[in-house]
Amino acid sequence: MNNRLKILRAERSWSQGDLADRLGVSRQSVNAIETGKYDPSLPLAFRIAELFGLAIEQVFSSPTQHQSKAI
Amino acid sequence: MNIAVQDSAQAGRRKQLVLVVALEMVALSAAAVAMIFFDLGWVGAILIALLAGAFTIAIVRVGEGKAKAEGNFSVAMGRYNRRMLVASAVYVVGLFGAIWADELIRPGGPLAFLIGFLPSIGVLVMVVAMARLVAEEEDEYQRSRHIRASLFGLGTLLVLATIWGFFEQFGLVPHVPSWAAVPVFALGLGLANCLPGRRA
Repeated sequence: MNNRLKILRAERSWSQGDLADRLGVSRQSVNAIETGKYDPSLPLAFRIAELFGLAIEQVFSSPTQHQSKAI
Repeated sequence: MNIAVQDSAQAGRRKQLVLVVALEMVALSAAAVAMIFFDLGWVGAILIALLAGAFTIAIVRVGEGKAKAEGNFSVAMGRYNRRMLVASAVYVVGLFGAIWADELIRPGGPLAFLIGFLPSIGVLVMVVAMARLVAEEEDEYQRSRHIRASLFGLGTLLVLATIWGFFEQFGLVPHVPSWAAVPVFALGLGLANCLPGRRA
């Protein structure tokens, strides 16, 4: 699953630690999600989207959807 | 806290952890050499157990400090560390107690089973601590890592036990007592945490 977490975080000048504190998760979790090593559960994905005031699909996108657009 | 200050605090914690682990290895190696060359007896064995215990507490404290500095500390992991320290102490007491009782009273029947069970108590507390960590971890990514590491540890144990068992059957290797299962599982857990991150 692709995400715009790093960009959204950078726009707000938040460190990974800042975002982790706001979400109530570890900094490792934020790093793993940002780098695509871990796909968050739906409840956490909704929490992330709500924190940025966006819809979930504005933060996360399907990699297959991304590929088909590129084709 | 600004990022440069955070980075320097994290590097400091890392150095502390490496230093304590290195010190423990040197101290325990020296203790092992002393045990081989001198007859230290019970007192020596207890002193070495205390030394190992003191270093374990130090490593846990420094490790927790490092995790806190990096924003990776969880309450569940703190509880797990405490439980493992208690379990280790229970194990050492149970093991020494069982050896002492076995030599002193040469038990038979149900009492022999009871005394033989003593060293297992601490190890069983460790198994419960591992299970509680997975159950109590609230951070879903950390929980997924614990589960992944547990599966890797289990796989390591199954693979090694199967291969070793058949080697033993054909008289190629010496017998290994079955209490080695938990240390081998723990070795797999440790290895899993050292492997490069895979997609969870």
